[in-house]
Amino acid sequence: MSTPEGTNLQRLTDAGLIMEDLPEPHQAVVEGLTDDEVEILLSIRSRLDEADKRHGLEPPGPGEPPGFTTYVIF
Amino acid sequence: VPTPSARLRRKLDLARAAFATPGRLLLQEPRAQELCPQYLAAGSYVTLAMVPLMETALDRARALAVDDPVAEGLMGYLERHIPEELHGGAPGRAALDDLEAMGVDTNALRARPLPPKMAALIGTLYFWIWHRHPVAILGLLELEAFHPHAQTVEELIQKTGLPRDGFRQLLLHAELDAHHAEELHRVLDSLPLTPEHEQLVALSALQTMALLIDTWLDVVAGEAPIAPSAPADAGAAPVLQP
Repeated sequence: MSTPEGTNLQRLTDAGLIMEDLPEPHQAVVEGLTDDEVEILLSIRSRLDEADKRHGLEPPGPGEPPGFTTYVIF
Repeated sequence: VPTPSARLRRKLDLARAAFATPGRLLLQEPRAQELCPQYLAAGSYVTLAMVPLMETALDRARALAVDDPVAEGLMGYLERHIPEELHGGAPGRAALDDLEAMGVDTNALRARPLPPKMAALIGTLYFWIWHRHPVAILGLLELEAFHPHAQTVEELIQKTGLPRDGFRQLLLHAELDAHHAEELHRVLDSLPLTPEHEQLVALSALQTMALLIDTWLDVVAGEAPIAPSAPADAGAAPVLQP
């Protein structure tokens, strides 16, 4: 997947947070992310990378819904 | 992307897999029985702070409502939603009952210093509600869309062998939160939100997700003992299923 250099899309793709081509409307949302939002997303990725080194993370199953293994009460 | 709720969901989709990762690790963990009460205790700080945070947001919304249509709309929503979250009891009491069924000393849990990341999460939300806009509360509430699923709660009960009574609220919220999330999306789309409001809601949701992920990964790694066990003579020690 090729994305314009220096964009939010590229930063999040390089970090492994975006793994596939996004539809155009979704790309527009990603490009509209603020720097604060992008930095939080990158911090999440970095934390998962640490956990991956320790545990070896498996990707979620296909079609796994949001919160599938989220054990918290909101 | 036509609506605020859809734009918010697209943003949070970027963290969706990450938010489910610590729970998947817990399910795979050989020490799941030992770690599960710690894991649920970590999340319980958010559960316990939720109604007080909503009440703070409601107070701020009432103060701003005269000349702020977003605050006015938020006020109406919170006046309806807070009683729903109480479930007829004291805020967080039912979640504490569940933790006690797993042998957690909930008096000690509430008396000792909060884990720093949970203190940061709750403190940041209070700060934004007061100093930016009470609409920040909707970022926390949006996470009801990431509700637990009954199937994976059952897997956790099976895996840990912990008493079923320790999972009552997770099972209940597997049903309730899906409805709450739908209502919240209708509210988000009915408020006259500016881009700044939308950014604050998204930032609040993402920050909450990031700090919960971080804390849960610490727990799964065995690095953050959070939940003190109840004294054996208090009668609240875990009773393991056969």
